[in-house]
Amino acid sequence: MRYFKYIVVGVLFGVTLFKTEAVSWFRIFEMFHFQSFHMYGIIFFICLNRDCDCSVD
Amino acid sequence: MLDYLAAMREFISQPWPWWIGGIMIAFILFVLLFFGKEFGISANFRVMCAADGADEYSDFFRFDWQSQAWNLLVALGAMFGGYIAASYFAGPEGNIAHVSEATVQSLNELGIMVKYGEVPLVPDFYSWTSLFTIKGFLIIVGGGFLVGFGARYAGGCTSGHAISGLSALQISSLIAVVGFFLGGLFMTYVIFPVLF
Repeated sequence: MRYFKYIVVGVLFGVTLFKTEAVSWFRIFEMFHFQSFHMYGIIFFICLNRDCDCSVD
Repeated sequence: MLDYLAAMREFISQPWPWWIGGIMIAFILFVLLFFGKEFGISANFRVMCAADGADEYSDFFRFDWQSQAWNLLVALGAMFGGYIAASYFAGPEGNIAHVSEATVQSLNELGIMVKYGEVPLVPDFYSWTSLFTIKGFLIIVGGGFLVGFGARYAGGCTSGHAISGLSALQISSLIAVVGFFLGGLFMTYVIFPVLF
């Protein structure tokens, strides 16, 4: 059960990737054609958030 | 209680905007950091190769892969998560990618016929039936091999460098991301028109 938490984290990750459509081939195609901010938004927002996390500890 | 759960399900089933994804993934990175682990899905390729006996052939695979079992569980969980989201949180529209009209037009010009508002998440050349055609096999298996090899050769996959690497302000990741982008642009603008 010590390891169960990692499966929970993984499930959360999988659901997030799926629901934000980041797993979609079409979204990636759209990104390379610069036709939407969506994928860039995800990447920039994670970097922004994570750098805030790190400055806390 | 049941009403509450149904409302909750309906809420989750909506398409998620990019900033929710950003917050969620940053939260996941933070939780793993709290557990004392560093997030990295593609590191599992090395773990799986080592576990399958590659450590007999190369020093690269001689490491304590048992200590990386947590990472395999994260990847396993992500597969469950994808299945759960696809099966139970698809929403009334089904599993579709909400790409822009301009993208639909570009796809149509390439000969990939999709309709705006009905673009699936996965194109039909990623399927079991196309796996058994020569072109489909080359795309799926060849692509998988290149991704797997490249992810280890570069010390991280595309999103690994773009997300974990860039947010840690690593120069090597920036170089890798520029490389991925040039490769991606070349693929979508130059090779796709030949391929499709």
